[in-house]
Amino acid sequence: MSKSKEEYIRRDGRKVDELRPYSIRTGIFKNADGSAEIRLGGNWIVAAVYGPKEHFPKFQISQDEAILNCRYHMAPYSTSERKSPKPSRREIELSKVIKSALEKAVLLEAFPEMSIDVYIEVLQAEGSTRVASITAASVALADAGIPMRDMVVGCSAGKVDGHIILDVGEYEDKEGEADLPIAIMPNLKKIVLLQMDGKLTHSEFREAFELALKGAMQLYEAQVNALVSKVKEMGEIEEAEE
Amino acid sequence: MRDLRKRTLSDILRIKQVSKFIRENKRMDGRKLDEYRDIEIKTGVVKKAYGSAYVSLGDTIVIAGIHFETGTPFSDTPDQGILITEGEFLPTASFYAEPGPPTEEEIELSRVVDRGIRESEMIDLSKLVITPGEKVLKLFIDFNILNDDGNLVDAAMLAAVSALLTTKYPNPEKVAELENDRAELKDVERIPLPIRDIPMTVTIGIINNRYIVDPTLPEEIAADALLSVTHTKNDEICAMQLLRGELDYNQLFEILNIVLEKNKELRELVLSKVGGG
Amino acid sequence: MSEESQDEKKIVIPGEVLKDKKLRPGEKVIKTVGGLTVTTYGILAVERNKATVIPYKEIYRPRKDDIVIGAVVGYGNSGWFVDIGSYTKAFLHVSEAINEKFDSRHDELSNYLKIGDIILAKVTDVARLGYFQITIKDKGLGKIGDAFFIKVNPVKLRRIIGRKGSMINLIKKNINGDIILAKNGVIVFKGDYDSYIKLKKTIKLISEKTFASGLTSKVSEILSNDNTNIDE
Repeated sequence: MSKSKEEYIRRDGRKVDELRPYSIRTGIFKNADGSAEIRLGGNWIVAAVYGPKEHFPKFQISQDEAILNCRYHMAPYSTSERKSPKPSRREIELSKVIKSALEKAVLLEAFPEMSIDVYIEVLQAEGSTRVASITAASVALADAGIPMRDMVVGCSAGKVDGHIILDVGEYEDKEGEADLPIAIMPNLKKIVLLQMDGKLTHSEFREAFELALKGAMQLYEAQVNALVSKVKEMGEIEEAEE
Repeated sequence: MRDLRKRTLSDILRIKQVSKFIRENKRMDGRKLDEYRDIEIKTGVVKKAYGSAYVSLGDTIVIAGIHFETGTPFSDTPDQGILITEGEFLPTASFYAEPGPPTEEEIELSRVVDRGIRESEMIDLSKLVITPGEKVLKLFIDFNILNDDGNLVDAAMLAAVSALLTTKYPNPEKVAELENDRAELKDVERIPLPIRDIPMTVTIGIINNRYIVDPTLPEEIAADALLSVTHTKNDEICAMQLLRGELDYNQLFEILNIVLEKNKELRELVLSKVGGG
Repeated sequence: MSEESQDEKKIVIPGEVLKDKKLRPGEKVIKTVGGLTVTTYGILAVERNKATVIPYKEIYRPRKDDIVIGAVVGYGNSGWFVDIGSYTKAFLHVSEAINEKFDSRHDELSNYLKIGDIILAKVTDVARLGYFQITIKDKGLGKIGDAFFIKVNPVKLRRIIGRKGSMINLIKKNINGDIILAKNGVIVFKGDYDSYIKLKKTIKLISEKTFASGLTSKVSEILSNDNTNIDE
């Protein structure tokens, strides 16, 4: 029978409400206008932003706002079986939901007729890549100087062995009973990505949602730290000229 | 590649200055004409792959990963495994790198890397056979350009070679015992890849009749010719590609002398950072 | 917030809410339900209750009369497309480049400016984002032949110029050669190689330590040092 919530220890040694080790860095690529890297457990994901820039083809431009293009893609070596470099249906769906989430934050109306490209590359995948991707992409957008209403940060929760758990790892995704990835705008308190599969009762769902929120806020702090430390490298802040 | 219409202002400003520096035997980043940029090599960066390497050559960044699958051998080589090399620019790499099917430049790059590894006979493909004539291992070298600041051939070759040197592959004898191999291949006992040679590629650009080692992207664009030469560990030439331009006969032999020197330097670096050989 | 916060400089990121009721939104700050929201990553500067963000990085947004450096990247029917490092290409109409009448039946645009040419130009029209017009007809404008170029993000120009031009004057006083600062973040230098290396080092320091205190004295140190070998 399942143990009580306090003592249940997950396969990778984590407690139910524990994130995997994580780190976020920004400004990793020289050519891109903005870039970021996230590591979350075994996940290693990079994101680059180009733009705002002229949109092609011209007949597709939007007169009112910028068009956000988003590609989520996995490298052939990112999984334990080789993945064909050609985008799969899964990657296309994830590109779409990630785009929808980021679109809510970016002030697209500031750049009519332009496009902003967001490229996400999963170099190693280990569960919950879509939410980690959003977290990195939003840092890359900020790094590119693109105005946003808020950051976007993602996290997942799930159910394994009858326990509601935070930050679904690879085995938990494959063998668990439910998976709930979410992304939020942490200051505006809005949900911008929500997917679920598996089975949860209403009370389990609430518990999972709240756990995912808690994890997202922790990762939000890591986003803030990555950006703040980047500016600090440029010297102690002292605007007044001597 | 040389089309300035697809370049950004920053790129064009750098390109315009290249020959101004070269005329003074200097380079924009302060390097000597025959000097490589800082090279960083990290292996085992992707644990999911059988072998992997991260290489940065100045601002150029390449990752290579090695994978295996089982397959049927080619009918003309029933007792050899199969080597497949696929390289792509990730759209993160540059303003002009867009997602989509491989461009001719990407295909050329993959094939140049493939040729160096294949023709040096770096890997003993006969050790990749499970059942002769029926079943062999397919070795995939996948590499990606994450950021492009030129000399992708040398960087990709370093990444591919470093990844292979640290690869452990599924023991074919144990694979033969499997019933349903594909799903279980990754759980099979792994042994070091049978390495026979270590190819090294050095690319030289010619600008204003001067030879430039390890060209950056603006230097590549400004160059009148670009030649990549791959050597085996015994200093035999095993692959060449004139990537662009034209050469005088004597220029070719002058370049070969430079490459032979530089190739040693590079090989020592790889051996000290990765080991093998 | 305390009264001291008036002059506080703080690193901010998009979404950060400024709760101080006295504050008014300046650039890169918008009004939201909770108060004011910062939209852009950078440094928050509050002056007379107006909250403004100095961005960490920014794409150049042309203003009328800006002097810019551009690269010719394409031909149109009646002029050239010029990359000025902004969102879209600027357009240089042939009548804004040459005095004589241009007759496309007997003449080619490439007789005047070719792809890859670098020009010093003035922005004449910024009617809509994405429609920038430039001219090279004013005095001092036109094609630039032999020069060194250093490109920085346009947000760095403020610090390179310094308060009332103090920094750029210091640089000009110590470096032999002509320096032009274009609004789109391009520094044009006409002079010898060694002076260029000195200038490049100085600009690099200012760009990397944009927010550092005591920058002027660090810059003086580089400029007075005659040993100009570059270590990159």
